[in-house]
Amino acid sequence: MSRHHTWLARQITQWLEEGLVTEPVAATLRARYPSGEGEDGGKRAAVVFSLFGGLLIGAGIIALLAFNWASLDRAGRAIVGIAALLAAQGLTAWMIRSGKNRSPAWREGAGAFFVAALGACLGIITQTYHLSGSAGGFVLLWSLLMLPVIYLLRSFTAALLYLAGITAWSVMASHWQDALGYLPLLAAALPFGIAEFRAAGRLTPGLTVLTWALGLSFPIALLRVLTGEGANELGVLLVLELLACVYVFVSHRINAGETSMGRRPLLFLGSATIFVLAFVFTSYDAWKDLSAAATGRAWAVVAVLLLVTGWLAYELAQRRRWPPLAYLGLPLLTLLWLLAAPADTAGFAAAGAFLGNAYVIGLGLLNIFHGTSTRNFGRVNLGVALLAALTLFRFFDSGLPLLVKGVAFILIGAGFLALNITLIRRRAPSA
Amino acid sequence: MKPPSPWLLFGLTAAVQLGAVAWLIGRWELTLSHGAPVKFECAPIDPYDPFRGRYVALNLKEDQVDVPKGSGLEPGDRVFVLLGADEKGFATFKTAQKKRPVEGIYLDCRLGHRMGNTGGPSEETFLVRLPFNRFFLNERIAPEAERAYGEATRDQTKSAWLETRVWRGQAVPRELYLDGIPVDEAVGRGQ
Repeated sequence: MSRHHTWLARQITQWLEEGLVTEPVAATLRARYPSGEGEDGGKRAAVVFSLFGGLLIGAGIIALLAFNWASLDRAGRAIVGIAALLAAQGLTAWMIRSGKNRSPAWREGAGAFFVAALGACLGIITQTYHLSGSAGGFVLLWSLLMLPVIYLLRSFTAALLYLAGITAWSVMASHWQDALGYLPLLAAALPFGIAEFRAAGRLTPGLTVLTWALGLSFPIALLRVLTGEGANELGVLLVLELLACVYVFVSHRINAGETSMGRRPLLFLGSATIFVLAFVFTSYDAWKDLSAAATGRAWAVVAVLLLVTGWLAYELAQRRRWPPLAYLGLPLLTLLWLLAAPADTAGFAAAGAFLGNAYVIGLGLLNIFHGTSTRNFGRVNLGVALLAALTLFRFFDSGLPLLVKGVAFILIGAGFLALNITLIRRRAPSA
Repeated sequence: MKPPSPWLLFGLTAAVQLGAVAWLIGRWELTLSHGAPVKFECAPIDPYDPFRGRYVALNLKEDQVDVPKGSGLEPGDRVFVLLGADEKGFATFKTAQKKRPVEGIYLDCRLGHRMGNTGGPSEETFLVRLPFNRFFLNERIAPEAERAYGEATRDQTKSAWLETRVWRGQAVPRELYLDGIPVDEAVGRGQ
């Protein structure tokens, strides 16, 4: 439930005490804007405690199995390993029979325990045969065997660990072609996330955590595919920029009404990527180190991402949601640069840095104007912060005297404060 | 679409998981019972390699293979390494190829870094990534075993080797010997 609803619930109680609203009005408001406070918090605590319980028991089993098994023969060790797995399966069977599988707390705790027991079982068996050389192979097998647990228990913890497993495996892959296996592995778990989102109609806390993990995992695997032999920096950066745009646009589709950045992982990750890369492109030195070329596989990924980005941008434009579309400026700039591929390195770097600075200034001004017109403090401050940070960077780069730098910093700070005071005054009720 | 019954999902999950575990055990047991015995001579480990508690970190002397230039092999490729033996009976790597050999003893593994052409002008050398680099022991004797292993591999008058069984390209370590004695016995005698 949104924090606005929680805030409103507290206000309604206060209004009742102050006599501003009557009890029937308060009840109507509460019914219309349910806060879920207390109930949601209790459920969340139960899930967290159950999860940690499952993880601790699982870790304990791993430690016990690893302890003194030298006295057992190979068959004995195999039985002990399989017993851990059977215990997790038995717990799941009991949950299905008793209906405990309907409780999120049970599902998450059992999911954590199941994954740990599976790891312990595989660990003791591979140790028994002294086969530990291929960590990637072990992680892949573990991940594949935990995949059905996600669906069986509808466990976000199992999904999170699966995501961590396939990401680690893709990083350990010998060839970039092997790392492409991340995509079908991810696709195998996606129906779970989609079904949960459709059922809830919003990003629940579990889905939010999973989205954070997915938002971080996907570029890691993608970078493993792209940064093999011959991969080029500018091509890779273009892929990251387009992916960042996809994140921002998808976030506007799935949870546009959410105000907390923590609950909008894709918006946060996408925006942060665009801002960081935009600042990289404002530097002449950074451009000097880049070459305007991309490998075939980088172009292939760019082509796919362009299609997805274009489709999402078209949808946003149809809904007249213009501000997020400004993020497209950076990948389009990079794409033009790659296609033009200027031969002169110095001129290429200078022109690139000029356009990079122009883009950040444009982005900052756009946020200020849009934030001012919609009286959105956050957006205005973001715009000002972008301009201030750019000014600071350029001043540090330049050989200007300290006195000039000092005065400039004071002016930026004063402007920042003046803008906020003006906005606060405008926002205050005139009556 | 109606979601599948939880019992059906449970049955499939349990069958797949237990089947996978049984397949692993079965394959390795078959290797131990049907595999050809192959001895790998051990070399000293890097003294800065952090001690990791419950196993002896292994370093096999034979860890490079020469392949003909132009074979198209690259680091990370899955290959079949044909095994030979030196005059002492320790395993040597004859060559590596992408196609599974029809006869002989061979290992199914991956190539590591390219080492140049230490084998000759018409050959290039690769490191071989073997699936075993640890010999697991009880944590009470592992530190002592690692110390004894270090002594045996550094002392010119002593020797250390890993006995494995190799079957259809798969190798499973069977015993680690220090100067001809199984490691747990050697450590027991030292104490």
